[in-house]
Amino acid sequence: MDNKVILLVEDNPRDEALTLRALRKGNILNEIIVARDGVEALDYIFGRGKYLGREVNDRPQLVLLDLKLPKMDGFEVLGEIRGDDRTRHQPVVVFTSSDEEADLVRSYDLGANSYVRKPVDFDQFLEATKQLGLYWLLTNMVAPATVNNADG
Amino acid sequence: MKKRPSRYVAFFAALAAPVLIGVAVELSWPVFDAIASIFLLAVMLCAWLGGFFPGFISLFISLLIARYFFTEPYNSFSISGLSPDDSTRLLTLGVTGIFVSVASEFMHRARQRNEESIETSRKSEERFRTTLESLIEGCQIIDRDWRYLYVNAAAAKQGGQTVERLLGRTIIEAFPGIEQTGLFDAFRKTMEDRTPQQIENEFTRADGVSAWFQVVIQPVPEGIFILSADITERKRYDEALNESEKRYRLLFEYNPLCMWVYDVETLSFVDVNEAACAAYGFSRDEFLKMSIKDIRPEDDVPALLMDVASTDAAIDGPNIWKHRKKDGTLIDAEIISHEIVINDRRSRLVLATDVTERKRAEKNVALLAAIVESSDAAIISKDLNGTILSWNPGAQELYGYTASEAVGQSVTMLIPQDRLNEELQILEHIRHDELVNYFETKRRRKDGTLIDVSLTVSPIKDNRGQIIGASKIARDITEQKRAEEKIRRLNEELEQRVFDRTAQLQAANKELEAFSYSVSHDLRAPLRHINGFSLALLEDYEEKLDDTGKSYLNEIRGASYDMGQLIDDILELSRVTRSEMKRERVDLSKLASEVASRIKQIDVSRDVPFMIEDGLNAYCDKDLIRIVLVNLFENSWKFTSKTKSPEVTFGKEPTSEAWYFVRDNGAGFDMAYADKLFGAFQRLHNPASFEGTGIGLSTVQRIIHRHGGVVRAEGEVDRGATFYFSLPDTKERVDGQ
Repeated sequence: MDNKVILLVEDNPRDEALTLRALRKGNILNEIIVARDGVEALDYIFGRGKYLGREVNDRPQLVLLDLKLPKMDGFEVLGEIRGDDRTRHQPVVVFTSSDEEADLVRSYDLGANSYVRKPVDFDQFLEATKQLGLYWLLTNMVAPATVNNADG
Repeated sequence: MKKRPSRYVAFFAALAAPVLIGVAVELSWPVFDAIASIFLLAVMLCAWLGGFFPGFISLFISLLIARYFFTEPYNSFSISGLSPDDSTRLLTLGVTGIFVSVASEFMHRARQRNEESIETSRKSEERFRTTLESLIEGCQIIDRDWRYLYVNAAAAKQGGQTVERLLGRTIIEAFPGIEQTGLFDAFRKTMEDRTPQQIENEFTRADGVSAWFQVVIQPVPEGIFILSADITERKRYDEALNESEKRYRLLFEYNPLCMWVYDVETLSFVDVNEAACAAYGFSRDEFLKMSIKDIRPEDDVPALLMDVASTDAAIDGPNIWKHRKKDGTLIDAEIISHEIVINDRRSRLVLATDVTERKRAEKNVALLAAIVESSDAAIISKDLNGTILSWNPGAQELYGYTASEAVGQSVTMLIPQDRLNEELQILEHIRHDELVNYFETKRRRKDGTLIDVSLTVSPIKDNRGQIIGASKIARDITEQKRAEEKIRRLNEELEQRVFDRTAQLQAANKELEAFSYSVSHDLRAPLRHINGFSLALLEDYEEKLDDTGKSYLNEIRGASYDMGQLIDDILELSRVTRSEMKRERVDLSKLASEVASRIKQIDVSRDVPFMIEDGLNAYCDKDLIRIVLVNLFENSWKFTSKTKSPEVTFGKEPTSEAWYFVRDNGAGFDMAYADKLFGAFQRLHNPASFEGTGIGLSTVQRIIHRHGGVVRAEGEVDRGATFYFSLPDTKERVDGQ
């Protein structure tokens, strides 16, 4: 499990560009895979369709999940991830422009690890990754892989 | 007493004594000279023995003997030849003899009289004694030392003793412990006070036998005389009589029926029992001061008087009268009276029964019967076998059978063949004391047509609560059924329409929600991008832009920020409309203070005092009212920004119950535009002078409207503005009802 990939699920290219810029500016050097819709996100995670053959257990370090997505929205994607034993513990940060309380509550109900409001303010993002205990892994590529085999 | 010798002995002695004296004198004549004296002895003896006549006879014989034998001439009775001495002797003898005889007679008589008197008194005493002995009352004489002087057999028997054992002993010896008794106290009293007494006392003898005595105690010189009669029997009889009297008294006194006795002449109550007192509310004493007129309504008194005057039957009644209780309530009383004589006065014993309830019940029954008779509904009663017992004209109307055709028949004649088991089920309910209510079914008329009926069947019970049958009320609901069917169809249509309309509304609501959602996401996204890329440009290409370029980019960012604000306000406005109301008691003063202190944080360099009235409470949605206060306070905050000494007041109109206000001394507004204040996107000031989206007051209005209240504003340009809102206290109004 040497995958330091961050899966960004975002349909809007402008948001994608701004997010990527924020991450780079924050010195996140991980490889960032972008999925344009919910189906594509799940394809990546479960090694299906376009990503057929990808090892499911080779999980991304982090999934940044937009809620409003074509084909399959973020809640459904989150539900699928949490519903599968292999991905049950996948860190997922919901990443949305909605400030509806209902969305926030539903996200946490479905098992989101954190909730970040767009536009992505790097400081807020950092806070979320700190909460997840991912800060070290994301910011330091050569750090000892203490957690690497935690889920083995 | 020595008996006196009989007269015959005296007379015999009178004859014999002179002869014996004569013989004795003859034999001893020479010696016996004083003839006369010797004969006189005989006379004296005879007179002593027999009184005058024997003495006199003895004297006469003595004189004859003395003349014939002892005086010269001897052997002759001639007195002419007597010597003067002899004559004197004989004469002396004669005179002395007569004297002796007469004296003896007197002596005799006196002695006889004495003896007779002694005899008489002896006899009298004997008689008394016999009388006392034979008395059934006990007699006893007790001396001052309490010793029995006399006691008769009866007294001894009363004491359980014998005369012999009592005489000579003291009463205390004879009856140990008697000195403790009341009887003895009475004895002692008479003994000391010398006053006679008469008492009745129960005395218990040593052998435990107890008896009642009537005792008369009389002082006598010796001590006291006690006459005692055993009255135990009489006492028992008295007690039995008392008991019997008491029993009859109780029969009257505690009879559960009201009873009284009144005097026929005066009409006053003579006696009254407890039941009557309880029923009429008068005490016995009150009753006895009243007459029977007093328990009648005044109008009935003349009839009462006539009735009393005309009634002379021994038993009268039952009659029903109106009686008036103490509390004024009138009752129907059924009266039976019986003539009796009490203390020689004609009276009547009255037995009164309160039949008010019965009369009322009878009236009710009659009324119910009339109602049943006149009812349009078919009212039938039947027994538990389903046999028809009664049939009213309504039933005839409904089913076509007359009462005489129906009564005695089975109700099954009214029931269509395919519904016969219904009747069994209904009867089963009735047997279990269950009401069958509005049971809708079909019944067959006499002419065979079927009708829709609604049945109400209820159990009929006898006095003891036993179910003996059922009453059945049937109504023809054929028409009603038809109407119901129509209503049902209309209702269905209506429901369908409501359902459709609701669905449309729900769809519209959904759309609105989707729209809000879309606004919050999609509308904001481009702004975010404008803002984001402007920032990227500023940060990443700073050195390639001159100041004008940078300021343009900042304008772009400012514009996008304003639009984001606008979107937020619109979303809040729509949320305010959609969110659910959660009313509770809210401390408005506290809430306002919180809001005010938050607003002051916007710009700590400004000093705007917020004056908030204490103790304001309202029943409202706290979150929504917070939005109201935030908007109004922000408004005042904003419009006092150019005021020299700004001031904001929040309070409640003293004159009105629910008018709250937020007043400031800021820019104010022209009242001509007052009605435009609360419309969305309406602004009275240009953005350059006061920033804002113009949605805040619209949100305020919507929240207040949702609370059932009203908003209004007063103001004057440069003289400040006052915003009023009302919050009807629905909770209080509901509670107050």
